Amino acid sequence: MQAHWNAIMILGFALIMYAYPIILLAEDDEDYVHLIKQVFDRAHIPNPIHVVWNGEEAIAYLKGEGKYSNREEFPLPDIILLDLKMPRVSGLEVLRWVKQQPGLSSLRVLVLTSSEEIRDVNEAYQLGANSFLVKPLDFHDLTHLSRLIVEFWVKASRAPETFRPPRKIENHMSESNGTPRAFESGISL
Amino acid sequence: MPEHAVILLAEDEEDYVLLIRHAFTQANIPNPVHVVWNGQEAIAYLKGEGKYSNREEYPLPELMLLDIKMPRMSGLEVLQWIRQQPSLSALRVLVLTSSDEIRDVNEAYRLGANSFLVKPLDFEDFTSLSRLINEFWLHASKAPEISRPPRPKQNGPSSSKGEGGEKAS
Repeated sequence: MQAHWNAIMILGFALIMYAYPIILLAEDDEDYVHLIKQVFDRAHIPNPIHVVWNGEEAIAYLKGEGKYSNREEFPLPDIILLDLKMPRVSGLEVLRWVKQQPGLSSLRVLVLTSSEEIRDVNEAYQLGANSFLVKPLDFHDLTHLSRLIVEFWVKASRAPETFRPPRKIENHMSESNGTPRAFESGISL
Repeated sequence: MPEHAVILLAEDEEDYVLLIRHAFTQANIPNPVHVVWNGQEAIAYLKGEGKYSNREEYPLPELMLLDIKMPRMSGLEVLQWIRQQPSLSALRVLVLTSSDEIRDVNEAYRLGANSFLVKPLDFEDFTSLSRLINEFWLHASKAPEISRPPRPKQNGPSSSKGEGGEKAS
């Protein structure tokens, strides 16, 4: 009986973990940020999104610099959704920077932009973007895309180890199949 | 539009190839799947060497599914080679392997895999993964130009941008 409950608890944790990918959204358009948050809320993925408003801030977040130094509050993300046209430092420059950092090079970056230019698509992939997505403009399409992102990137695809956020509760579920392992957050930049 | 884009599957186990083909059919993926059976053959295909020199018959793939444990040359070596080729560096490569080892996951991403997937063990799961690959990679995500199949006929100046492949046979 006890074992049974333990199994249920572990499954519960696993489901919660699936529902809590840490997503870093780099996007300068406030309206679009609201829209994305709303979509994720309605898809019942609670509070997974940290927002940075330009490329410089994205890099500061990933470095854990300044106000981002507290990794409990600003954990390294599982996935970055990266706009290309941002002030100060562009998305492509952020991408180039990310892929050059030994501790971050395997971080999964999905470009999410309004640019449809094939030049941008080519360059993003060459710089190491994991995928390139064009922003859907209406709520319904964005909902569909968000579900797809969660289904593919959070549930189906394996995450590299280093980018799991440090949390303590996962320690006892490291061996079950398809479940995130214990987080070893030994990142130092 | 993406229906004719070729998927290149690098996989040494015949049973898996059959399973994947079957799952793709089940998931209504109309794209042709070309199979290479080891790492060396994968590279020959991508280079267009030997029997693969005919790009009409063996077009560059829009998406590659890459097993890790293959004879002659491993999937990770193939991946490393791909990322070193300027003309292929944007090719989308999904690792699809039975390896569950976090070391392989880390290494694959570090070498530039676009994603890392563990082969599902049962057919149902394989079919739903195929659907997801189809929806995300062949429809939602934009493909880079380089990996689009070459146009069958070069009529007129090839100045148009980003619309290659629609009429591929």
